[in-house]
Amino acid sequence: MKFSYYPGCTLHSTGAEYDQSVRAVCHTLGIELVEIPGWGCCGATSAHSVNELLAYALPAHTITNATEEAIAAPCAACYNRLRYTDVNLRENASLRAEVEKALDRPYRAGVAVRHLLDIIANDVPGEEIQAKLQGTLGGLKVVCYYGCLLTRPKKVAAFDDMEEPRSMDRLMQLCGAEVLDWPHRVVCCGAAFSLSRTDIVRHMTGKLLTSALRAGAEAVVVACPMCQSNLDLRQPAILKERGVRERVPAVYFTQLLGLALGHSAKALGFRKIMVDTSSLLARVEAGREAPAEAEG
Amino acid sequence: MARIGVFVCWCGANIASTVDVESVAEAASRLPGVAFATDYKYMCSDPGQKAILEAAQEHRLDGLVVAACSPRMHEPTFRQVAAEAGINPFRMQMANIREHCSWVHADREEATAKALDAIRMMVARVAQSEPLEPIKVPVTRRALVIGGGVAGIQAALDVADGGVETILVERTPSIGGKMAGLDETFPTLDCSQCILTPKMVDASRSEFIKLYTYCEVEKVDGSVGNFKVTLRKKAKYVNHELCNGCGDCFHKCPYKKIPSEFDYGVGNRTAIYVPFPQAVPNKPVIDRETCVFFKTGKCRACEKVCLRNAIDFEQEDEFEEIDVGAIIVATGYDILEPAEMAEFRYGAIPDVITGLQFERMSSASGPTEGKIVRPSDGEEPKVVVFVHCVGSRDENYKEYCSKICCMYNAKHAIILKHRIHDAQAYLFYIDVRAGGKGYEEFWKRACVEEGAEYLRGRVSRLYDENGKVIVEGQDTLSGEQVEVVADLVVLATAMVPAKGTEEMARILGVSTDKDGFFNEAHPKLRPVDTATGGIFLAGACQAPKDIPESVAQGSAAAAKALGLLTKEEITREPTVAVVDPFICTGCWNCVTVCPFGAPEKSEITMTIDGRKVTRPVSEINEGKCEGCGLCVASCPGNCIDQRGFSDDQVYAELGGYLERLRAALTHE
Repeated sequence: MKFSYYPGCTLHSTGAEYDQSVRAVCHTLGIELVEIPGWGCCGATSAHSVNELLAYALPAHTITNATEEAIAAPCAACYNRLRYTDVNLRENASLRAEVEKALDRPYRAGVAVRHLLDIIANDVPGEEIQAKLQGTLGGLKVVCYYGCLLTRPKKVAAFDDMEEPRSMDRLMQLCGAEVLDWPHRVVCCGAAFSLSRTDIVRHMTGKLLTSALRAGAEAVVVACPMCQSNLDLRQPAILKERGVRERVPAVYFTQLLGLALGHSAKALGFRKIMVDTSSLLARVEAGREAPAEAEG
Repeated sequence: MARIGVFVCWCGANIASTVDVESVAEAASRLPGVAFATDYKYMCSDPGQKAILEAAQEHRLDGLVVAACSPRMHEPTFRQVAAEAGINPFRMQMANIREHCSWVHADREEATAKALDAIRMMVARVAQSEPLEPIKVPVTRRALVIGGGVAGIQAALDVADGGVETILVERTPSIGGKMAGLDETFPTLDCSQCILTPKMVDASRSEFIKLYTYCEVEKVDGSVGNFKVTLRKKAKYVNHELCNGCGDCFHKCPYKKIPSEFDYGVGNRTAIYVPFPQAVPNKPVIDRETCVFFKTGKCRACEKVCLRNAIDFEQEDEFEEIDVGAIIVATGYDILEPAEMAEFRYGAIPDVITGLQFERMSSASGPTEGKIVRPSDGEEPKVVVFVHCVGSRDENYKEYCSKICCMYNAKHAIILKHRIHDAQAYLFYIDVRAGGKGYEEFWKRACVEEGAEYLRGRVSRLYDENGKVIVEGQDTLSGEQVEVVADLVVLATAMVPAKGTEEMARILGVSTDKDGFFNEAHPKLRPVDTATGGIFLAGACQAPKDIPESVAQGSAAAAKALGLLTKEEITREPTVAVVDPFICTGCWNCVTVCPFGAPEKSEITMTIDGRKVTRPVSEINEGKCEGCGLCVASCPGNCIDQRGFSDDQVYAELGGYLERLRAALTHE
């Protein structure tokens, strides 16, 4: 399998551990990633808040630069903006003409935009992943957090059930984690309000964290660097405010998958997670010593 | 040579603004076989029709071409004019120069040429047209009503009131439908059962109504006036002739924990059961799927206790064929399964229920005897959230409005307050749609007098926390996100066509719309007809409806059925297939392809070389033929033709179309 890889701005900066773990996991699973030459910002929230044409032209630029038939995007926001652009440019000829004028070249329609979770959970056969496992996650209790952009809107982004997605749950189960049910798997974390309206983010992320802790989670598994940073960086302040003493690290699904596939915590960038992950890693380590009991 | 008159309509500016009607009429007058041509502003108007009559007389016309709108609009009008002028109506054809020409083209010159093409085609066709006489068919004076909900019951009662025998078929063990399970009804809060059960009893007692419960329609053949319907009478395992409905059997049945369909799982029933105490007929059936005897071969408790020996485990499904002249479809609705909408966590949180489950709980004859409780712990709820538009008006599920939910949510809020005085109702709504007599006043009453709190916004998510249901939503009027900590949440789920509607549509040969509801023949002017003659619609099988509308439509469908059934005979279009017996070889290909069973196996005796020979040939039953043309097109020997669409007519029409092309080529 070969994909055009679109790391987006975050995976080159605050989400470097996501990039590290994505590359490690994909290497093991035989997914070849070719970084898109000259990729640009997806526009994120800012572009479509101020200029519609810009919001389409930025992702269109990156899609058109892709060298492969399909793009793998690990960031939920990038994925959403690229999908949104692709769907609209395919359907709306006049918009496409306008964007092509801005790009000064034809738009490359027909490139499939995929989120990396979709690729790993749905394209790589479960047995193949299982065969490559170097141990299990030792029944680590996790809740899977998809965030609000990965499956919405239904007609644009959903590769899984919009309200109750399960692909990450299945993947984590395969790795030997105990996946807990919780009601907040697709609820917004507050996203980019992190900088302008921290009160909103504190409220929304606070709900997520208390819900995860109430479910008994030892980790919140994420597939978006924005969600990760809100759940991670602001966690001590938020939980302190709510009088909660426990902490629950937010880790990328590729980091846990990477551990199960035998990569070291160091190679997967665990030290970049702000909330203490040492007990999590100890649990997994214990699971590794007694492997073989693969679930399926 | 034929003497055809061509009449070109302006349709005000509809045609005349794009088509040069005068030059078209002038050119038409020079076509072969045309004796007269003219144009007029409104051909369908009284002076327009008069002009046709006068011209027919003056020019001794024997055929007409009216170049105007679609024949779907005015073919009956101009056929009538032809008949008045002494011309066979089937020697009148309409050239559609409005929908097919002026409305869809902008270029005047090209549209004018196309209009003339259309006229040339129809002139050539009329010249080849044989005069045809309508086929007369006797009518079977009996009606079938499918579905015993309030719409079906009303329809059956009204047809019976006209003195026509009616067969009312219901697939569950009792008539009554959804309405029988409701508590009080909006906007008057009268008890649903109190107003419905007398009608149910009337239906069972009427000398003109034959009630078939636990029965399904298996097959429908024939056409308007003469349908042949096969019914499957499902095995009840109880002989209803012997049973007196004493109820000993179901009191004795040891298997008591089967979720009751009638109570939507709020209450339980036994394996041998009457769905509810006021059921009609008030006699039990045995549910084979849950009966212990059918599973293990042991028990027979009901049989032992029955003093009338009515239990009969040997019963099997029986089939009965009935002849009817008209069919009224009243198959009703179901609700969109809320588990499909994961955000409401229905099924995962026990205190999230549907509106219909709330009805059963608040109904005095329901499983909790009218006490509203939390299913999780049986406690009285103090804070209840009612969610409007669950799956309705939602592009992810159903785009349409389910119409009745605004009113029954208001009703539920009122009933809640009446039963639990210190309870608080919160209603999340998009708009309150209260069009109907007394409806606006009713929801205002819920709001103002009964203290229901209306929050304008959608619910985004439900989850349980410490035994409560947390309802997250928005209040778009204040612009705030809101969170209600509720004891009970009631979902107003979208109405969808009843399970099996698709199959029923296939059996009946009628179409459904994008949402699966039955299609009416015209959205405004023929709301209870289907496109298939003799099949009518009533109630929520056509679109979401409340009780008054369903009843009105039941009566309307009955009036339409009576209009048909009180005729001695009906006329049918003579445009049917006809076999040439001299060349038919009896291959029965037509018998195989016909969906209506019109071609029948017959014989012909003829003299060949002085010998008498009898051989098999196909013959079309004109009463059954729908004129679809399947047999005509697929006959390998080309021995079937269709009246009104004969090969000669169709080729002539094609020739008319190609004329302009031919002229252009010759010119070059």
